Amino acid sequence: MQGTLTIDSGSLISLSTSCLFDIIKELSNLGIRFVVSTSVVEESVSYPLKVKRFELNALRISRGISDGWLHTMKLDESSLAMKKQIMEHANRSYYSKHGPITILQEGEAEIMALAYVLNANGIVTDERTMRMLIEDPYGLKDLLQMRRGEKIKINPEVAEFFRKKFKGIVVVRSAELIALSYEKGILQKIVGDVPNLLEGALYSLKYAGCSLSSEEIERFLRH
Amino acid sequence: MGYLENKICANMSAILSYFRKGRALELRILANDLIRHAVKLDNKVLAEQSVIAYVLHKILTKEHIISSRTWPKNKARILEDLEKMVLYLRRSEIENFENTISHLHINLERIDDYFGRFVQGLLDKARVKYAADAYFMGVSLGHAAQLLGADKKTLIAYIGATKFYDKETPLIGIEDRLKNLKKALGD
Repeated sequence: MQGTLTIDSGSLISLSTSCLFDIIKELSNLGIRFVVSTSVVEESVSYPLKVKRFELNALRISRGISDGWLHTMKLDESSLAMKKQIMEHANRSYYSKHGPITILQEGEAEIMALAYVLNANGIVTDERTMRMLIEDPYGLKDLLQMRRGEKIKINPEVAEFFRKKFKGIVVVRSAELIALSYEKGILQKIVGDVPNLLEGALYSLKYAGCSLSSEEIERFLRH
Repeated sequence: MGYLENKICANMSAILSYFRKGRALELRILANDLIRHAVKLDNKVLAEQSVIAYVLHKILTKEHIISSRTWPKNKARILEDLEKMVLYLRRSEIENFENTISHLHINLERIDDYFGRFVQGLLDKARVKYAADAYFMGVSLGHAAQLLGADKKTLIAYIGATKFYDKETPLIGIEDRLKNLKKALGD
C-alpha cells in the first residue's frame, strides 16, 4: 500500500476529537503519506492552541507534525495558481437570480490544489460541498436548488473542469480511514480488540462532525 | 440607496422596533428569515443582522435577565446602539455603523457574561447555529463559518450533534469509498 493523501482541517479535527488521530501515524507506517497545507495547520493547530477548549486536539495534531508522520507543505507558485483557478471555477459554477454563488473558501481550495499539484491518490475531507463539487456537480446543483428554494443554473464547462482536473483522485472521509484501519488491525491495536469497535469508532466520528448518516453506518456494518 | 441598502436599513429598523416592544418571537422569525437572505445574497451584513436578532430574541426569553434589577439600564444601552445603527445606515455612514455593531457586541457579551449559565456565549452560539443553517443551504463549511464569523471547529461539532447528515442521501457509501481508496493505494 503506497500513496499520498491530502487531508483537510475538518477531517483532522474529527479524528482528533474522537481520540482516533493515531490511526494516521499507523497508516503512514504502512506507506501512506498524509499531507496538509500550512493554512490547514493554522486552522487546526496554531489558532486552536490559543483556545483552551481545543488545546488538546491541537496538541495531538501538532505531535503528528513534529514527529514527521503528518507532512506540512507550503503552497508554491504552481499550487497557488491552481488554488486561484479552483476558487474562480468553484465560485462561478452555480448561479441564482442574484448572481454567482460562493460555495468554496480558500482553505478548501488549497487542499484540492495541493492534491492536484502533488498528483495525490486522494483527498480526505469530511466536507460535503467540496466532495459533491468533484464527484457530483449536478447533484450539488439540485441540493442548492432544493435547500435555497430558488432556481439554480450550473455552468457545465466549470463542472467539467473539476471532473477533468480531479480524475483519478479519490475522495474519502475520515470514516473510510477508520474502516481501512480496522481492516488492517490498526484500530484494534490503538483502542483494543473489543466488541463493536468499528461501530463505536464510526459513530464517534459521526458525532464529531464527519458527514455520515446512521443508515450508512448500519449498512456498512451489515455488509 | 440601492435595494440591498434599503433592505438592510429596514431590517435594522424592524430589529429595533421588535426589541423595544419586547416581541421575542418576531425577532426569532426575522433572524431565521435574514439568514436565508444572507446566504442567498452572500452578504455578511445580513448575516450579522440575523445574529443580532437571534441574540436579542434569546435575551428577551430569559426571565432571569429581563426581571433583573439592571434590565432597564441594560435595555436602554442596547436600544441606544440599535437606534444609532439605524441612523448610521440611513446616512450611509458605514464606518460608524460597524463601530456601533462592535459596541453592541460588547454590551451583549457583558450581559451574557454576567447572567449567562453556559460556557459558550450567546453571540458565538448564534454564529455557529446560523453557520450550520448556511451549510445546510449548500455552501461549504469554511464559507459558512466565514460568512457568519463562526469558529469552524465549533461548527463541525455542532453539525455532528444534529441530525443533519441523517437527512442526506450519500452518493457513495463507506464500502464503495473504501474500495476506491484501497484501489488508489494499490492495496
